[in-house]
Amino acid sequence: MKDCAYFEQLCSNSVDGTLTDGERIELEEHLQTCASCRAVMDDLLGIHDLLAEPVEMPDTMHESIMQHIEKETKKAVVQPEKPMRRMPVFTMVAAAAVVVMVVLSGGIGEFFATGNSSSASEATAAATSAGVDISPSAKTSEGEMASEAAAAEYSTSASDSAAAGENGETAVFPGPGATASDENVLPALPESIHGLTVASCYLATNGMTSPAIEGNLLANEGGFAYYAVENNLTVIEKQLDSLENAGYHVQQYEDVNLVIDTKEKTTLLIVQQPS
Amino acid sequence: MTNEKTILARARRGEMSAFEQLVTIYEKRVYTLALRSTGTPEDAEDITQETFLRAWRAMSSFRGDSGFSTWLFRITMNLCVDFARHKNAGPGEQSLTDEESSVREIADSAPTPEQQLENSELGRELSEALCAVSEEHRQIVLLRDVSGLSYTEIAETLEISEGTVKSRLARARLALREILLSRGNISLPSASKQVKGGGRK
Repeated sequence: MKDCAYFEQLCSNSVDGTLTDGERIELEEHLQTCASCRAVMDDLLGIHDLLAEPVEMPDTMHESIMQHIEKETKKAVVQPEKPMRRMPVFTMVAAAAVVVMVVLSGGIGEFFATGNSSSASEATAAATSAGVDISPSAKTSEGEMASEAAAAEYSTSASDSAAAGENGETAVFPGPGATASDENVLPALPESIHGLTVASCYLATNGMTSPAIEGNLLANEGGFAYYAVENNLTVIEKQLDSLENAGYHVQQYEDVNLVIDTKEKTTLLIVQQPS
Repeated sequence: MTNEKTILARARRGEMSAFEQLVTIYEKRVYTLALRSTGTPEDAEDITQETFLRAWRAMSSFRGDSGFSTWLFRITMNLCVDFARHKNAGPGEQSLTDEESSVREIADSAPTPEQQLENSELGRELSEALCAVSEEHRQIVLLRDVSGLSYTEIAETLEISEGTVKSRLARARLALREILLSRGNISLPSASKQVKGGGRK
C-alpha cells in the first residue's frame, strides 16, 4: 500500500505536468478517496499559479541594465594605470626600412665605388647591428625609453634616406600611401566612441577575411569594426600579425575624435570588414 | 535555438549589440526571479542589473556546456542568496518595513510590479512564506514556478540530480503550504474551495 507521502510527490509532479500515464491514473484514483491529498493537490496548484503570474517590469529596466554595462566598458577603456610604452608600428616599419635602405645603399655603394668598400661594409655592419638591436627591443612587452628614443632616431633617418633614396622606398616597403588607391575608404568614427582616450590607434584595411580579434567590440558601423584591445605589445602584435596574415594592410591611424594618451591601457583597433 | 547560438557567439566576442539582444530576451525572467526572491522591486532591479553586468564580464568565459539561461539564472540566484545574507547580516529590522518603504518610494513613478501578487491576501502571505522556508526550498520553487525551468534545467542550475530536483521540489512546495496553513491562511484553495479531481490538467 502506497502512503500519502508517495502521492504528495505525485501531486507535485502533476503540477509540473510530468506524470506518466500510469502515475496519473494512480493519483486520480487515490484522490477520489483521500481528502487530505486532494487538499494538497489543490493548494500546490494554487501556489504554482500564483507564482507563475507575470509581474510588471519597470519601463526603465532595460535601459538601466545597458547603461551599467556601457559605463563599465568605458571605465575599462579609460583606466589610466601602469603606463605601457611601446614603439608604434609605423616607427617599427620605418626602423626596418632604414635597415633595408642602408643595406641597399651600402650594397650599391660597394658595387659602384670600389675605393670605398670599407665604409660601405661599415654601413652594412651598422645596419645589421641596428637590425639585431631593434627586433628584440620591439618584442619586449615594455619597451624602454631608450628603445623609443632609438626608434625615433631611426625613423628620422628613415625619412631622410627614404627621401634621398631613389626609387627604393616603395619597392622595399609598402608604407601607408603605397596602396592609397585601394584604401580611399576611411572610417567615420561612430559617435559612441568620440572622445575616447586610447594609447594608440591602428587601422586595418583591405583584408579578405576578418580574423578573430581579442578585444572588446565597441562598435561595428559603416563597414568598420572598432575594438578596444589591451595595450600590451604581445597582444597587439598578435592581433596585427593575424590581420596582416589575412591580407590586411595595417597602419597607425589618427582621428580628430580620438584622444591619444600613451599612458592608456587600451589601444583602438579599427578593422575594415571584408565586403 | 540556432538563432540564440549565433547571438551568443557574437556576444562572446564582446559585441554589445548581440549582448543587448540577450538582455531583451531574458531581462523579464531575471527580474521576476529576483523580485519573487527578494520581495522588493528595488532590490530586484539592483539584482537584475548586477546579474547582466556579471554576465557581460564573464561572457567570454561562458563555455556553453550548460544553457545560457541556466547560467544566467545561476548568477541571479547566487546574487539573491548573497543579497539575502547581506540583508540579514545588516543592522536591525527586516523585510516588512523595508519592503513597504521601497514600494512606496517607487509608487509615484512606476507601477508596482508586485501589485498582482500583492493584490490577493494569499499573494502577500506567499511572499512572506517564501522568506520563511529554507534557501534551498525557496530557490527550487522559484526556478520551477517563477522561471518555468524544466527539471533538467533546474538540475543544471543547482548542480543536483533530476531525482533530487523532483523530491526537493515536492518537499519545498509542501513546506510552503505548511507555513501558509500554520499562519491560518484561509485563501488557500483547500480552505475555500470544493476539491475537484487532481492529476494533470
